[in-house]
Amino acid sequence: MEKIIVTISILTSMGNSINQNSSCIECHKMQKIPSELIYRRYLMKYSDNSIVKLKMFNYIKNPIKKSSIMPKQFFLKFPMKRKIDINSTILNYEIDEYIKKFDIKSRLILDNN
Amino acid sequence: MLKSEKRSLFRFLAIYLTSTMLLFILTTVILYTYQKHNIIDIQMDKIHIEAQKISDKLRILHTNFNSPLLYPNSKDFKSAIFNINKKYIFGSFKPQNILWDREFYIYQDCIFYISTIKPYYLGASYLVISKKIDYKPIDNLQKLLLIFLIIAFVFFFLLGLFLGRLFVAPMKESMESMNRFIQDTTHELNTPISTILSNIELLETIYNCEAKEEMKRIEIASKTLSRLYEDLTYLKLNHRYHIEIEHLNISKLLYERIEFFSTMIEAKSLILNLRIDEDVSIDIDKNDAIRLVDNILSNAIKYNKKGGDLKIELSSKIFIVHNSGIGIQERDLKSIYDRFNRANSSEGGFGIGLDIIQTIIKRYEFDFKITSKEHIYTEAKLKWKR
Repeated sequence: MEKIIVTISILTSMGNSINQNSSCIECHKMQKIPSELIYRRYLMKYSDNSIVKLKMFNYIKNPIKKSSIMPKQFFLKFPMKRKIDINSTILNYEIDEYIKKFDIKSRLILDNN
Repeated sequence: MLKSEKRSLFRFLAIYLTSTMLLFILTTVILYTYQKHNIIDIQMDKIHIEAQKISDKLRILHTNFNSPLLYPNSKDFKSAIFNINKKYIFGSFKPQNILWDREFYIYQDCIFYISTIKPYYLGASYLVISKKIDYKPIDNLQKLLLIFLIIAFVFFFLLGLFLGRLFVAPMKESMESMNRFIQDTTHELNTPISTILSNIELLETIYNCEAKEEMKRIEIASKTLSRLYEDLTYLKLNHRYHIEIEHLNISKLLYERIEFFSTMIEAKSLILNLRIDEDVSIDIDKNDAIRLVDNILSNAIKYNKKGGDLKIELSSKIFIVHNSGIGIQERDLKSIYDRFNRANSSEGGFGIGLDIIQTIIKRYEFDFKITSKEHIYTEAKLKWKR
């Protein structure tokens, strides 16, 4: 778990270095960040994808403890993510892609047993 | 069992059974409503338990990152999850027109339960579960209550019958003693009346009695007594009397009865106007026919003025007796059939004549009508049923 948190921290802190044309998901993969777990945390707190998207957007644009999905104890060990200077349109697109990939609707099937 | 006794018993039973059954039906309805709610509540509890199970499964699924995620499915229950904005996420059905402001509700034979979920596992804020209402216990309850009502009705009917008989027993005893008294009295009357009438006849024919006026009065009084005896015997034996329907020549009988009343007609100096068709015959018991004709005629004579008119008309369709008598008040016409009611209390008689007429016209379904104008006339019109 500690390893995972460290990885998240690294990812969030290198916001400025993200290439605007690259996919967040690809990068998360490379960094072995448990993206789905983060998405589930958001989903468990905000329920609706539209709210999740808004909260993610706000956090990436202005990362503060209050708006973070991570628990307070997390920031005792890891520094706060730096602001990312990213185009809003691109960010919106990336968040949409992110949500689309992990959306539970496409994963759920009826248990017929 | 006497008619009045039957009527009293029937009335008692009707009041007793109606009130008892109303009370029972009311109790049964309350019990049914209460039990039905209980049955529905049990089914609601089952849905509630199912909701808990699904919530637990959603929690487990939320921490499961494998694919696919198996949403809990049951043949008895249908469920669906909705996000905080009440948008459908997934489910074994997609309910429409959900009443979000209610926890439980019934719609189209299904019970719906809306459970809130927090935290929002898989983004689900609401869990909607539906179950088809199981009507079998309700049907069983209905059958049970119906059987209970039928048994209660039978039991209370038998109890009512027993109590009713106890209730009418004193009345029955009184009626029986009264009947015995009438029977004894009439029996005792028969012999002296017959003696008087036969001796009057003897006096008139053999001894050529000089006091003819007085003799006529004795004859009228005796015939009145004789007729009263006949009426009482008829009423007394009415329900046990063997009726023998025959094709009776009513014209001939009418002449005979007019002859019987001739002394009375003469005594009142009535002007007799007869329009009797020959050989009019109807199917009737002879005794019934005599009692019917006698009572109509005797009333027409009794309630006539001295020297008044008495018109008697008989055809194959109708029998009319019209007098120019004292008439009947309008209010009295309504109650004229009551056994002891008399149109004019100044005249004699027990009023049983009209009761006998009513009994006979009911028996043969004749159409009987009395029209009258006080101090002018009274007309009794009888249409034969042919």
